[in-house]
Amino acid sequence: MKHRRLKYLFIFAIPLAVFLGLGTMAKSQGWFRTGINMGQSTIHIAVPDFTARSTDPKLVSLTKVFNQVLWNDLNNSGIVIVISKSLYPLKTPQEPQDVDFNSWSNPPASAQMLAFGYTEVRNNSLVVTARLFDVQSPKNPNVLAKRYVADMNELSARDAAHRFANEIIQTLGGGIPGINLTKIAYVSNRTGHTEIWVMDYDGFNQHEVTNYPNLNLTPRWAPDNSEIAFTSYASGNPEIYLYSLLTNRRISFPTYKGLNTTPAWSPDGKKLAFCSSMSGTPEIYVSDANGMHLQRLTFGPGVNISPVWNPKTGNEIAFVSDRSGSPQIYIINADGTNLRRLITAGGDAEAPSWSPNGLFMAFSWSVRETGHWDVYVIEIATGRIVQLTENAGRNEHPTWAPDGRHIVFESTRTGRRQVWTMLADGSHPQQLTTKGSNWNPNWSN
Amino acid sequence: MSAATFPVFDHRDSLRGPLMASIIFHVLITAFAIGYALWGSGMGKGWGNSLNKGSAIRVHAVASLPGVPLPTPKITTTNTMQVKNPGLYKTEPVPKPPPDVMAQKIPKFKEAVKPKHKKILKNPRIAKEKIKPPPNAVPYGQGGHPQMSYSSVTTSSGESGIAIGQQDFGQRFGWYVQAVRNRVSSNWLLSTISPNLVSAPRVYVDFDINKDGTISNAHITQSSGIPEVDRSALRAVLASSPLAPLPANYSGNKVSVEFYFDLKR
Repeated sequence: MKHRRLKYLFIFAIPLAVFLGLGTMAKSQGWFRTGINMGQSTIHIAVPDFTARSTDPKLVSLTKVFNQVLWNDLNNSGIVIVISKSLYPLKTPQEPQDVDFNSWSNPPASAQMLAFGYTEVRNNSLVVTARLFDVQSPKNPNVLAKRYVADMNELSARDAAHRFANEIIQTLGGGIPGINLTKIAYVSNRTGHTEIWVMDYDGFNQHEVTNYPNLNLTPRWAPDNSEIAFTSYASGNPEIYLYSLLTNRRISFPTYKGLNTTPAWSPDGKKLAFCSSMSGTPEIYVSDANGMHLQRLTFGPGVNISPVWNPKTGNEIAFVSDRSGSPQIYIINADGTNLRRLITAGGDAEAPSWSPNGLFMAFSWSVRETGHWDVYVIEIATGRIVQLTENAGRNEHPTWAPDGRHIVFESTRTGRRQVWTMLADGSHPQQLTTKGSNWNPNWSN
Repeated sequence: MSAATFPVFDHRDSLRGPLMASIIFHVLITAFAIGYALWGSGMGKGWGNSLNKGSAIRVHAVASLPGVPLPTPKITTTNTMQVKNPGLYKTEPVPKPPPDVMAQKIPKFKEAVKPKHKKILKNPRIAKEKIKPPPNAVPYGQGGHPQMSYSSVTTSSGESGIAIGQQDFGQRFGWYVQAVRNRVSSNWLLSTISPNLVSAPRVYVDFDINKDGTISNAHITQSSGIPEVDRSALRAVLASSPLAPLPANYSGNKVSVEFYFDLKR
């Protein structure tokens, strides 16, 4: 009897198993196919003004700041084209149901993306509700939906706009984080002293960091942005100073006799390369960030200065040497082997800056034929050189932004040395500083 | 002998009727289950279903903020299960079941031992028979490529295209596909290919994008035959990790991508 029951059980169990098995197999994973496209199709984005939900004058002015910053951030990002406001439909959306997809996706707006939202005051703080819609697919438009709570002041409103712009840039730019919250350190003499200053990436919120006598030059951000290394003549002798931005105090670093200048952090933040003439001629040295394990890297004739690490591998250091007669850029392995010259053409090449992906080097170069100082980028593997600035004063000291899309540099195109940014293809130049002379910029990470 | 035989003990139930009924019943259930699994369940779940077609419910994924991950909206899609495919061949009709070879008459002994000899000198049909096209062939010029949503772009380095598969990730998240394409293209450096190479056969690279945007399982599925082109394509994909996280309202854990590279200078 039991045996027979078992048989019946099997008759039930087998179709059940088959049924379940096929059922789960029918569920499948999403996939898509795509192909290479070097001429990138740039996304067109419409950014109508965010609406203030009350007439509180403070809210209205902060909303204006938010709109302006968001617009500038997206416009400078280099990955989207911001559609001019004169082409927008008359109705400004606040909520998803306000969006008329046809009027945004059709000419004249012809937008692919739409960033919109509103601001309001809640519990005495600024609340921004922001959305990003794909207006080309009305059935499934939602790309981003964020709410930012900020204090009722301009800095916080700017911060909220920077954050939303960062989200948009990271989403539409294929995962590279935006740089809207990064900072730029530079040297300024506007107060009469030559000190290290820091500002937002768009030139806002410029403030002094150091207050030492004499000259303070060549600021370099630590990879975690907690410290700045720079050259200070405070003691009368040029020395490497480390300054902590967390405690606003100097961190001890050994002093050596002679010239000590141009510090450079290794990508892991554990080592520091710098130029020192402790043994007579200026040579490149590497030591731990606390000054231990000092090691001499170069033994060449002449001056060896301005080291910079390969940020991708941390295994190579580029530096400037005049061993061939004029300043030229050389690359050496971090252990002191395999020295080679990067640019074989003549002229004076200085201030190398390695791109974050380790493939390109930006530098300032004075070609012998013209004698003009301009910013160039060389593709290290091939030696192909691209000129980024032209006929615009003296352009020097380029540094890459962490996204690899922007470059900050100093230029005399307005008369005095000022800090400018541009996209890495040379377009979109933007002047950041106006007061006094400002030079030697360095982009935070 | 003397013991009376009670008819109750003598009586035997015939199990035949109920057993047959039970077997038929179970065969029916099995057939239904298999049939449902094959045709029925495919419509119920996953993308490309036609259940919600026409009812076009738009679910606002974030009617209420802040950005708490909300339950995934039920997906409506315009996809149909089958496309009208002009293809190269018509769909073959289901073949008839072959005749049962076992069901032959058993030949009688005398007939079996006397085979009828028939001399066949030649097959007259060999000369006459024409080569017929298969009955499902589409006449020349009327067919076409298998239908697929396909767009192509001409670029500085060569021609390329995107084909979005039938799973409508590309339709729902066109912006994501575009972002992936732009990022990978910007990492495909022609400097990694020797300059005397002007063109190369297409390289196909398959990879998965995980929920957080990291790339895994990248491999070449079709080589160009030129190792440096293959390597540069693979390097372009690997250098793009991590990509942007997958769209928040996409329910899957990962997306499989087939990416192709056409070198043309």
